[in-house]
Amino acid sequence: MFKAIVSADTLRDTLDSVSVLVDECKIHLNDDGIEIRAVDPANVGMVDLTLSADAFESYEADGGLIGVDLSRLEDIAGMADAGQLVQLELDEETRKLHIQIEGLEYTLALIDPDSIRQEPDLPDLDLPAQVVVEGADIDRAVRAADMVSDHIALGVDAENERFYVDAEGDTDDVHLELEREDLIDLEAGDARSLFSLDYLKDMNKAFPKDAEVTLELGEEFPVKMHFDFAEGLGSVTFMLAPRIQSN
Amino acid sequence: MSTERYASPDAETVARVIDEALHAGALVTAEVRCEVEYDGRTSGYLGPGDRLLVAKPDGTVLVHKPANHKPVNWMPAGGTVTASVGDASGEPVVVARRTNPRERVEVRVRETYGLTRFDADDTAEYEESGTEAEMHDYIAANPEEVEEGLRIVEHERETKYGYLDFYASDAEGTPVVIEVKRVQATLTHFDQLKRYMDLFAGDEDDVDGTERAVRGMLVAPSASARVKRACRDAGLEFVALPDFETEAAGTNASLADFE
Repeated sequence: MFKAIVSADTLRDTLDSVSVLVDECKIHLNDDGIEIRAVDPANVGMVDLTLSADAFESYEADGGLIGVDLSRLEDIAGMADAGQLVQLELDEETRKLHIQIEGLEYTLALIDPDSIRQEPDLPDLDLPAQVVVEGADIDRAVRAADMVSDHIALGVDAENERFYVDAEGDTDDVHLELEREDLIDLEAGDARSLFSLDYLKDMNKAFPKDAEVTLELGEEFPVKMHFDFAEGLGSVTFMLAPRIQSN
Repeated sequence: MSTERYASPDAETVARVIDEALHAGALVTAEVRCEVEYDGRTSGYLGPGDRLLVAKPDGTVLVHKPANHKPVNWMPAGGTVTASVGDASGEPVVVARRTNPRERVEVRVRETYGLTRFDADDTAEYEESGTEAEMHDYIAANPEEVEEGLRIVEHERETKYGYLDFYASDAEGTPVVIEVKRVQATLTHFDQLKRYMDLFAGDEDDVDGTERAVRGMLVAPSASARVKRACRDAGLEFVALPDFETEAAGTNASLADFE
């Protein structure tokens, strides 16, 4: 069984973080909250999300698993005004999700979880550098880089204790440097990897601009990006594989 | 360059100006209310509406609606374009035809708001990245960076396969054909150089059977091992100018590679 009431904002933040990578996903309805783990078809970007039962106005679940069409569910969540509550209830018989928003009732057909791409294993990465920045700083770097290139290098200069972003285009370049005092936190270790802006731009959309984002980086290694939402009761980790030379 | 503009011209003027302009190698644009009939791989009809009609001397005809970047109807270069006044309607009719594939676009002009004949001069070619030209300038000024004793004979020599980037001569006086690439050299670039080399195959004057009469050189910031091997096997040379290396983008790794 699953029955929950959640604010429209929290529901939207949850869905947005996942929909930047995939169109449909499995949602684990655990007794202490929900959990979503998904990877894009190319296995380049991954998301791992948890939302605690405490983030809901009310929450009852016993470990079910449902498959949802994310854009459909986002559209429905978009019907609610900020601050409105959304009531979700699973009908086990019909395998449909009943959604209520202040008198509006929507019955959403679910997707057979077995038909959704398998959930990824989280790679166990030992990343030497860790940086904590404001979401707005990443947003600025990604938007500037996007003006000149399709890819972006993220790195940490351990000696000079700085985090940097490089984007090289055919004619124009973008460079951003943040010193220790510009950063919320820094664990220095040499790191530099190149990433596709296509992916990073999408992930950036999900970063709350006023929140802290923790980046873990290595040399030609995936980046791990972590942030909390729903007043710390929700947590998202993105993982993005680097671009590497094929020869 | 010159332009002639006609405001609300009559049917005879429209047909005459379009015909004359296209014969004279000029471009015509017209703001018209028209209907379009297409017959070819499929067939279709576009009802009357306000559109921009463009006819180019190479046989290109474009009918643009007020929105979207692509024309709603068009005929690519190579077709035949005629403009006349319809017998029954008394309105201008522009017909563009081609035979392979057999296609026909007929534009029946209901009303002409404006018409411009544009005798345009344009010899420039679009350069994908301004920096390849920089690399050419660098090589022209510093041929010794490519090879000691190299002397540039000609920059951009025209051949039947297109322009050779450089025709040069080495320290021994042997001709060198040079193809320059701004990006990491690929097999396509190698093929291009090989085609150019074929042009000189007839001139080949193997005295002792080992030495080529003409050397072929691919110059790029870098090349993959495959391209280097292909060059070596074909008796061509690859020269790296790593100073021009931009950060190669590579390809996305898979997260599974890191598990």
